[in-house]
Amino acid sequence: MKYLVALLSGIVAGAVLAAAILYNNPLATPVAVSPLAVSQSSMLELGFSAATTNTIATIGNGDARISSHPARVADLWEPAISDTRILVTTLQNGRGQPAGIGVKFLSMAEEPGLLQGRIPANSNWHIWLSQRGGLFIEQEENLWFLLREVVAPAYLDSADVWRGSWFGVTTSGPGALGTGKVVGGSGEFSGIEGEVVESIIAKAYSADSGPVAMDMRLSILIDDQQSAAP
Amino acid sequence: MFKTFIVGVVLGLAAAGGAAFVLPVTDLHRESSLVSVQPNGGNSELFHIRIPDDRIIGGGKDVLTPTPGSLQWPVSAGLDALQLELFKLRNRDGVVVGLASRIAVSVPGSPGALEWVLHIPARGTLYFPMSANTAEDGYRRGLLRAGTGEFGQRTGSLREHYVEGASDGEGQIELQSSSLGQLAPEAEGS
Repeated sequence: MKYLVALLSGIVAGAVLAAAILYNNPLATPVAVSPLAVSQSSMLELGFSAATTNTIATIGNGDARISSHPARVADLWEPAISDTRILVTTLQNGRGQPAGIGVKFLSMAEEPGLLQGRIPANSNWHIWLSQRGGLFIEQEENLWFLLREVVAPAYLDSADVWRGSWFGVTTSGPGALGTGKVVGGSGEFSGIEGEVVESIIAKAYSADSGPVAMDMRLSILIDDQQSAAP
Repeated sequence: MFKTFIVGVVLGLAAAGGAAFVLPVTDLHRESSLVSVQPNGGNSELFHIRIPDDRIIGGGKDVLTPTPGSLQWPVSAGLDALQLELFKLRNRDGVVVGLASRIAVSVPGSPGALEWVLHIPARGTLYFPMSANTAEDGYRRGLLRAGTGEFGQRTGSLREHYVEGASDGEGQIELQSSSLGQLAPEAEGS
């Protein structure tokens, strides 16, 4: 009997040890520099605040601790869409002026990844830029580092709040350099192709209300021969 | 007994590591795809949106009753001409299978613009710019400009039609998507 207890205790200890190693995985390193940072081409920069109350709408399945915004918006509770979140936001250009509107669909990906330090998600942006046209963007994202560096510390904090300064790139594909893709457009952007990187500057996060001070940026590299800068 | 404990630790490490390597971080629910195969080898799929039940967001400067009522539409000259709606998307059996965004832009003196994005988790996403004008038969039509996931590398079209319901303000939007084969290079951006 005592050998069985020792074996079970060892298995539990091993599982806890594995979880600790995975959480502090030394082989998984965040992308600290945007893959587009070294590009000489012109860039379309679009920014927005991820703070829930600064968005037009942030919608989840209703099970999460963080409620959807605005009040009384329909939750995504149906099984087929319960792993999807929607963000609707005004997008600002590089000068901080409203440039258009963006809808982001983020669905968790049905892939393993924890051993490689990945929480994979697939996202699509449907963007309309005033007097210019529409953009459709495809991204694969890795939410692991945001979770480990910002969200988990907020949940572990006695006041349920994380404060600090963290920069991270969430885009991880499908481009070879870890960039997302502009796969379609309309109006001025009709027929374009391009690369995209989405990045975060986080300064405060609440376990109860979500992002408090979190600026997001979409850096879109458009083929110079097809469209001008903002 | 210490050796047994160590064996347990190794087993626990291996089991947790194996699980992290193999198990997906989520298990997406997927409804059966109700796709009709056309005589030309293409696929056709019919989606429904019940109005007003499936409207998640409905906003715009000129929208008198936004959805939900608490929606704060941003005040910006650049967004005055724009109307945004988000919907739950149902298959032909009435089961919610995805989400859709519809952006409509109307500027006096210009033809206007209309775009649909249909996001179906576990399958992919479709992007359809279309004509803002309704044809004589009551349909709006647009071409598949881009698709992801299982909808990648395809060419196709979308047909939008509003069907009035029994009572005022109720009805449903029918979206008939058709797609065919590999995406021809000249179709992209056309």
